[in-house]
Amino acid sequence: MTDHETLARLMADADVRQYDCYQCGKCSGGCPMADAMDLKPRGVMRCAQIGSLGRILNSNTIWLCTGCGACADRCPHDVNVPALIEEARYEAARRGLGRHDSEVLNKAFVANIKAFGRNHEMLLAGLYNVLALKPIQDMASVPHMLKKNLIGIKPNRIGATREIAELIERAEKWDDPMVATGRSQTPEVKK
Amino acid sequence: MKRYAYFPGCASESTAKSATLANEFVFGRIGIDLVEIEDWNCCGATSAHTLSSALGLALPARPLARAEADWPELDVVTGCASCYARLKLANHRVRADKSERYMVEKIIGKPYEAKREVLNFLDILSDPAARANIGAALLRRFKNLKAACYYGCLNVRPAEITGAENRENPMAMDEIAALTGAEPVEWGFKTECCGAAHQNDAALEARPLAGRILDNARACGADVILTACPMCQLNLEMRQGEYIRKREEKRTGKARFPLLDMVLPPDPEQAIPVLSITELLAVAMGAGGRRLALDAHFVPVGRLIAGALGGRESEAIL
Amino acid sequence: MSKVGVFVCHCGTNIASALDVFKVAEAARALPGVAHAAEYKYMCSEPGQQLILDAINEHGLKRVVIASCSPRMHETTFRKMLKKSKINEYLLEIANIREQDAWVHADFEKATEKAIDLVRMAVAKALKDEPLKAQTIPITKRALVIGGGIAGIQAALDIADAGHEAVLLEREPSIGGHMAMLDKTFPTLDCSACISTPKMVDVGAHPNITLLTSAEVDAVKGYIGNFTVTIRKKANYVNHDICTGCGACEQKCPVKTDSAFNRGLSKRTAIYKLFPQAVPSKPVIDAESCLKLKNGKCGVCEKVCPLGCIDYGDEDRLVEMDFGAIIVATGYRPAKWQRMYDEYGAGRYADVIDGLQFERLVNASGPTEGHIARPSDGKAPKTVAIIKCVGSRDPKKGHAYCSRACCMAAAKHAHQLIDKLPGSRVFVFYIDVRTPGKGYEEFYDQTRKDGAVYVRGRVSRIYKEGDTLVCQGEDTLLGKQVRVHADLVILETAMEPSPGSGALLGLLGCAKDADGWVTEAHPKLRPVETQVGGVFLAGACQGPKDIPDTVAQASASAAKAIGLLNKDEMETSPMIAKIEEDKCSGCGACGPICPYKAIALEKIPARDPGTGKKIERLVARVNAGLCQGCGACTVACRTGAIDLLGFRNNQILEEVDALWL
Repeated sequence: MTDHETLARLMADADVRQYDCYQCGKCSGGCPMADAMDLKPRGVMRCAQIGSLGRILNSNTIWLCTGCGACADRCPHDVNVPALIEEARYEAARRGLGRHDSEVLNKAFVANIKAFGRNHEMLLAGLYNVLALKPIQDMASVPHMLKKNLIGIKPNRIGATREIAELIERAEKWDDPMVATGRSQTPEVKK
Repeated sequence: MKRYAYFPGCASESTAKSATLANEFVFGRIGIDLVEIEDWNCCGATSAHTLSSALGLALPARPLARAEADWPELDVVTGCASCYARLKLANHRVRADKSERYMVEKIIGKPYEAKREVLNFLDILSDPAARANIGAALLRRFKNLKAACYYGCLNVRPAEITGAENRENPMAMDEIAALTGAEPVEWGFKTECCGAAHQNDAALEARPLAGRILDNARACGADVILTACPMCQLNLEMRQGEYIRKREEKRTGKARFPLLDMVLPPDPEQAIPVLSITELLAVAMGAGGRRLALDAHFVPVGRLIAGALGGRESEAIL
Repeated sequence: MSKVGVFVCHCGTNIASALDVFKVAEAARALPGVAHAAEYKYMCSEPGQQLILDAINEHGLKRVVIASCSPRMHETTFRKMLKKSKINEYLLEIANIREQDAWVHADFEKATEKAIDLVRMAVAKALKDEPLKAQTIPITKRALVIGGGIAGIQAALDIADAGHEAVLLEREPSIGGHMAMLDKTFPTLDCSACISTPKMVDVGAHPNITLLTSAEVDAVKGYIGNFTVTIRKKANYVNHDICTGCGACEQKCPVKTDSAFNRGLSKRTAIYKLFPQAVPSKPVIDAESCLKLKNGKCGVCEKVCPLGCIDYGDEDRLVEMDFGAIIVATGYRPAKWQRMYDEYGAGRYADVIDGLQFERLVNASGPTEGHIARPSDGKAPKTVAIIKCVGSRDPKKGHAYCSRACCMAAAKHAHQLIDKLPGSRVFVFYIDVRTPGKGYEEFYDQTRKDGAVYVRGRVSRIYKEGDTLVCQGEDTLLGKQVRVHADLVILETAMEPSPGSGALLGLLGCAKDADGWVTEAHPKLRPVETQVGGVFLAGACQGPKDIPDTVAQASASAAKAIGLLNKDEMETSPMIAKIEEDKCSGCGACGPICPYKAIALEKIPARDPGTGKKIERLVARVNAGLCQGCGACTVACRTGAIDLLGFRNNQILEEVDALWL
């Protein structure tokens, strides 16, 4: 699949038409993360317009977007930038372009759910800090949290952990590029 | 008695301890019965959907399907904006798109029709009957308590999922807070994202978001920030010390070892307490400080509440 | 058999690039009754018309079919051409192979096929066409101008100066419109009042102009040259025949309510003049805030009036007047941005104002006497942000269209701020700067050079921080987020059709577009006419416009009206309903169907078929002046006694047969 075709598929999956955007900048202007992004939401749309998929996939934007939706909400042309960013994130991951820290966290998060059914915050933060080599991040808060019993060593395990683990495996397979490519490949069901 | 199927969310079992205690107290007092969904699982929060779109829908769909099977007549409520966003999205997509419903049902291995609504605490507290019950249950009244109501982005957006009419200046929480005598302030960051989703994996980039919210609340004269989500709550509160330290370091040019934050609490002159809206209601309904575990807050709230209640009332609570 | 000539037009490449015009002409030649067929690049042009006239002579043609653009476009052109020939101008058929074929189909072959079908149908009908003769009707030599803004004022003056009577109707208590509210006008910075008030005075004094203020259109009957309009003179509780406008009443009135003229920036009394230079310069009572009219208490104005002008018992009066022409000049209103933009504070911040409010603030006769003081605390702002395209170019929250005048209004406001507040900083947020007008780009350029900082980006949100308003957006040229801490924010808001203009257009039968603006008869070639004969348009009612364009259009509109009023009588279309009295049973079903009230029942002498005695019977009669040829009655007639001339049943059926048989 060429970049051109891939971009067209991402746009279709996100239900975004890049030429709806007229580059007014209202999205970037209100984006809370814009200061840190190397490609701001308007830039993502611009790259989509000129067909520069690579710049989108290599940007830190797709990993920094918080999905707060302010950009889409205020857009005069109703362009759903976060939806495109989400699709771009999947494509970047497929191509092995994932941002290290984000992947560490997200994978640890899902592993956590797989193991316990729920999120064990202490374990997650600890695991992340170790794997991402950020030993002191947020550590200053730990004594208070332990003292006030806000976090504990014992995980909250639910009964159906096996069911959850299987659910996760099925979902990941559904999205696996070897099995299917994106949501557009979901089997058609008569409406 | 009004009943809802209740999705507590993972934070309710840990960091959101005081809010959870307050929720139980408040809903008990105003005649709302929350029936916990059996064997609920994590909704995937802000992480699962970034890895897999299917997982992002399937994780929240499972407890919703469970609620639909066990309590087909009950709407589902949750007290966390992140859970709300995931549950609401799954509900919406399964309703709107038959192929997504097919996918979700295949993955969770259960039927799921998304027949009922997903609500957040602000929705159910704004219900006219609930409002009247709140009014009747109030025993104490705050004075001179200027409150900045922080709704969080995911409680209101995206509009096509949440149905929120005003995503820039919602008023539901302001109106509820005003019932206690607190004075909601006019401020600009009610629904601005606090960056909670990326506080671990992109700390450097995401921390200024919470800082801007704290700054605007102070600039607009707020004594306290009220929240409707434990993620927002934790993010605005736990990292305040660090934010204030960094701001001071920038101002003075002198750095301090970060772990000293452990022993040096945030400067009370610069810190702003953060309470969940249910904690505010619980105190106003007469709950004691110990019962609510108010001492679990990172930014101490005792002085604030004592000042706003005044005299004997404050002794009783603290 | 009658000899038909078929002429296929290329319309440049409009038609010729979408279908095979040569093949169409060739196919036409083979049709029964066709004696000649030709194609040409532009049939409507002088040589094109000559080609047709020559062919008529050369081949002895009796009927003509032209395959070209819509008959709306050039049917009249070709009828006029036929007047120069021996053929009656109604023995003409237009096959619309442009709008209904070339422009809407992508397949060359199929479009060609369709064109041949259309031509075949037109030829079939042409063979059944019969000569018709136009009739004439008299014209009422008086024009009604609806709306007393600068467009209406200009149109009324032009018509009156040409020697015709004009009635200028305004629903507010004074004429002047939005222009009376402005301080200066771009790009020359003339004082708006200095150039508009003399015109207002001229209107008041002109012997040919009747000024009706506080008045609205209630009903419209009739047709071009012969309109009857019911005008509602709204109760204003002051007898303007005796009032001298001394102002004693205004000074004593105890009520204070928001002044709409000052856009809520100041108060006015319940008995008030719209503004000091109002025409007529006489007060009216606003019934909604007057204490006497609301609860019977007060009556101060009546006591202080030296001439006894106050009449609390005043009521709306209806007046019927006849007109030959009507000009719609209902203007615009600034968009209600508060309902569109929660992210700009939705009206919660006193210091976020719209451009028209700024005009009042900077105006020497405004509430601050021209001192730029921000509404919240009266302080002079040091930093001002101007935001353009608020409600414009925003299909989601406002309107898709560009409001045209705001770019220049913003430049003017920036200039005024820099000029009046030395040392202040002005930021203008824009998406594009559009200055296509004489002297406009130069004005914008100068404003930029004077120090207005233009920031390319639509402001994402405005929030309050302490005493200032933070405008947060992206400087898209830098690719960086910017936060401007402003003391005052001016929103250059979109223009919207004036409230109530939709209902008025309904009364007149005029079409409006999806945004509510009046639709022109043709966007390029008939820009000041509506689709209703005798009804013209002027100014912003047709779409956002600045003053120069508005005035130019008003004069153009007046010229059209004058052209009509100069005639003593005019031809009417002969394509109207015709009743065969022998077949008519007098049932009366057609009468109520007719939207123009053109059909009435009449008694005619007859003989009883049984006894042979003389009796009277009822038949329907059509008023040729009123009938518009819509054909509704022909369908309603049970006995088939009514036919539409030019579109007779047999003519239409012939067309259908040509297509299917």
